[in-house]
Amino acid sequence: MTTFIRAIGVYLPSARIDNLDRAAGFGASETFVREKLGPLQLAIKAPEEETSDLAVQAVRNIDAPDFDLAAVDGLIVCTQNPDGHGLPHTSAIVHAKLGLSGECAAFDISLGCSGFVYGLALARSFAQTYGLRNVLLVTADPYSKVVEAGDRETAMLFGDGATASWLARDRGGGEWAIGPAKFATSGKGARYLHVNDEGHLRMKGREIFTFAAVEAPKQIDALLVQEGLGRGDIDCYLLHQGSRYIVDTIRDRMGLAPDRVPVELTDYGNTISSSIPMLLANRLSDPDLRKLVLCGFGVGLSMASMILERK
Amino acid sequence: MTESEILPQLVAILKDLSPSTQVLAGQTERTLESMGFDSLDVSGLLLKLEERYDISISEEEAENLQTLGDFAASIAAKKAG
Repeated sequence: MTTFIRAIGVYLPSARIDNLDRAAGFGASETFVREKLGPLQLAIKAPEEETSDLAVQAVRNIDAPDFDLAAVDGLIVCTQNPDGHGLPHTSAIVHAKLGLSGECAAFDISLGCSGFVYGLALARSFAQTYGLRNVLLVTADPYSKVVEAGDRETAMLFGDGATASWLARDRGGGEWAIGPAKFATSGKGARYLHVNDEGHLRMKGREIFTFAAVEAPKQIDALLVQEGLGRGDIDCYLLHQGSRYIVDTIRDRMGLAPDRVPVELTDYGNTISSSIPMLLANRLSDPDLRKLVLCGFGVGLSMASMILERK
Repeated sequence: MTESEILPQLVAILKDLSPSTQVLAGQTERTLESMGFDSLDVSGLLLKLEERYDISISEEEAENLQTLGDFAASIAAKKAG
């Protein structure tokens, strides 16, 4: 018995910040933005839009004819920038806005860039243990709530967005099975990406970079070895889109071809836990793909890798 | 391992990081920034140096490393210590 990813809805707010303009204000070159950071634009939510609104829009954007909101019996919202002060949990607010069943489980998980992979693992275990049939895994972490426009380390990276993955025990055929995973934490690095007492995001980029560059290849390789696979058995590696530079660095260190390690953050930025499902949404129905590796890394410091296989 | 031994290795690492940038071992007083290396390049360089020389460079130490000579001297001191 396993759980399948049936469809993914993506929501990006329509407003954009011109990242080249913003970079110019920091004295950063266009080359640096294009070739190192990646985002030329940053998606930004409207001031009145709440995290739950992004989540609801992502669910509304699930494009699958047999998806039935009334049949949803589990809702997990991954965010560290919840509605209000986080009490009540954002998933309860999303539950109400969507009018989900009274017998639907709903809870939040507090994770950043590794959150989607953790969420898949949690959703699979939860659904299988307790017999849930249709779980929504939502990622919605609008960093515009905590990014200070004048902070050079963070103001040119992050964009707002949300995704909603429909996970089901029944499959319609050709769906992606949630597979084996590995997890890691380096809690001593928690201070390298945090919100300070003034409510502003602060990041030590070098420390996050080193963690990701060193640990991601190790974790992915350990997962592949555990499953009796080699790097060449994986069709595509969907890495968290922290920046173009970190994705390129991990790719180089693993000796992978660029076409197997996509970079897609140019038009909206690093969307935290939504970056991997956004990559995945563009590939769910690609018939050339049979096995994928997902790897998320960041705040915590936290890392999670998983294999998805088309069944 | 002396600074003069480390300098050419350092130049090779920098050329590998950014093939289009001209780096000469004799330019020990030039800052990496003036050669065109940005903050992300420096993060990549520090990681390569830590792995290559089996050393650890703290954030505080890294902030004081500006020139080719600074990097070579720091590595030489750590390897001697």
